[in-house]
Amino acid sequence: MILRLAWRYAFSKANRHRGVSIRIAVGLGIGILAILVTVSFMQALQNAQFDHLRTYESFDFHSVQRYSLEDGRALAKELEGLSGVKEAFVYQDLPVLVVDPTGENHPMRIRAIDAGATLPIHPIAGELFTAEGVALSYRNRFLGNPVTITFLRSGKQVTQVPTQRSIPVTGIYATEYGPFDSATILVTPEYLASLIGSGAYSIGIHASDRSIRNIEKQLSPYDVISYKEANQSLYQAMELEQKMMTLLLFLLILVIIVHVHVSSKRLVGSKQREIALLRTLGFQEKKMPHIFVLQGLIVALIGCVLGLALTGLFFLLYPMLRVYILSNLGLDLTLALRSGEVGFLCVLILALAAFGAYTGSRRLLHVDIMEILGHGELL
Amino acid sequence: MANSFECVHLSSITKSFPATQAGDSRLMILEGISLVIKHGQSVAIVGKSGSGKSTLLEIAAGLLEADSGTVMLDGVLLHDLDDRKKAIFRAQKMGFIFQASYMLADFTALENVKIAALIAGSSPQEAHVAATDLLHRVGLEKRLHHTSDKLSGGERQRVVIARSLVNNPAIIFADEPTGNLDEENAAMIEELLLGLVKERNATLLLVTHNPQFASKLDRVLTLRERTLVEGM
Repeated sequence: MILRLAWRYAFSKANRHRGVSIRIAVGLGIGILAILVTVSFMQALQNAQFDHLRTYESFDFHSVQRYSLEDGRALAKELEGLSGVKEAFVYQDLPVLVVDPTGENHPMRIRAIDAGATLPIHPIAGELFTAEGVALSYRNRFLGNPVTITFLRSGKQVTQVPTQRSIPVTGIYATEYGPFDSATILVTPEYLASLIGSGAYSIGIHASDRSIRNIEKQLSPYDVISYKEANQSLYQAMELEQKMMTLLLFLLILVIIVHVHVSSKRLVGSKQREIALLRTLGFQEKKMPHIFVLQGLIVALIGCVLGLALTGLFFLLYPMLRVYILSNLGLDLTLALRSGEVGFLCVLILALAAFGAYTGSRRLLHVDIMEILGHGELL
Repeated sequence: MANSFECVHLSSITKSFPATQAGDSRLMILEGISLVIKHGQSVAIVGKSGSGKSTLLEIAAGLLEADSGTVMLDGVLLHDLDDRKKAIFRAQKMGFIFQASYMLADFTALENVKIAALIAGSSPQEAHVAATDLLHRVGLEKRLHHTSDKLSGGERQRVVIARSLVNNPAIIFADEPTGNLDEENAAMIEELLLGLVKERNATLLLVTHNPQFASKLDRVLTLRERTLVEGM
């Protein structure tokens, strides 16, 4: 009978307050959707930022000291022989100004890198690493072909002399990291040497954290720097961002908690006359909260299921949004949820719903039957 | 000391309420009221509005605590019962009819009556048979599956009467059962209630403003100046 009463007071068509139950469950569902999407975006953003930094910018480790192209390549080969090192390669980032067809200057960089380095750079058109030109990203196609680049090169009278060259574009590329695409022109070290001389190269290393000792032995401890050290201020900013996001998430959960608690009490409150009547009929007071705890659990459970279904739907439709985010923000975010976090959230909601219903109904049991029947809302 | 013929035994009941204005002393409603009602007897309590009739009924029914005095129903001192035993006693021995014809609004007429039987420990089948039978008796055979919002005031009160009788209670407490009804419906409810109570040999303690209705009962008591006196 308790289950029947609980269901009748939750979602049965005969229930006058069915709309309240539905609104509460929908509110819960949307709240859960908001929390889970926020959590997954938060984690994806954090992961993407560091993944992209490690992949394209400062790599897992890189050398502080600069080497000639030949020495650098020889050292990279030695490093690749060390255990834990997946890849080592030479690279050089050179700041340049690029003039677009309207005559406007754009500060960019040329990255000279060996074609063998396995960065996830996807060719879209033409050839990327050739001895006849440079590769632009699809974001910079507007710069035209050939592209006009202003270098700073060593001079005889002064240290640096600006030199403008018109260079053919041999290929178009794309990566999953928009800021890299927007700022970078790719070129082979040999072709860069033919333009402004060989220059000095760093060594980029993709390796496990544990291999740092071996790398330090090879390069000297002062010559190797991790991506965290290289991006210390960004790392701290992201830690702060993470704290702020956690606070935001906490506030979201707090809103849900208040919603669940108040709603559960409201559900009980809407049935207070029924509680009084059941008491006159001899329904045992000790068992009365069971009805409303069960009713609160049913509503909360439906809310959780709805929230999870909405989240599932969002994840299903996310590939469409992913393309939008990639094209507009230049970030390829892979969303993921940890089942432990989802489970914890649902259990928390169910527990609070039960608690709210229990305290609400217990409170009504302490009020005189005639007072409940004679008055309006007491909760 | 109660004997086996007594169904209701109120002894020296006193009740006061907190004063509504600061500085006033407590408002005394009932003072040393004693009352004995025999099994199968129907008793009406009349009196002016605010004289404490409903308060006395609620105390007699165990819905309200008296400041002092004892209430004995069917040989059982209510004060001695814990919550669980009081609930069982209410379900099996007592029936309630209120002026506002309170139904469990999310349930049909049939379910309203069935629930009372189920709470008292009847099996679902017994409850169904008893509820259907009583609803037929009160003339609601075509309204079994209607909820309270689809029933008229008189029909709702008939459901409440059926619900109060479904467990064959020893005593029925009725607070202005016809107070909210028109003359025609009121007369029908009066007949129905008194007929069913007599037929089942139940004791009836009823509060009413209506002297004609009161005069149809075995005994009439008037609550005047916080005490009960025989007659109108």
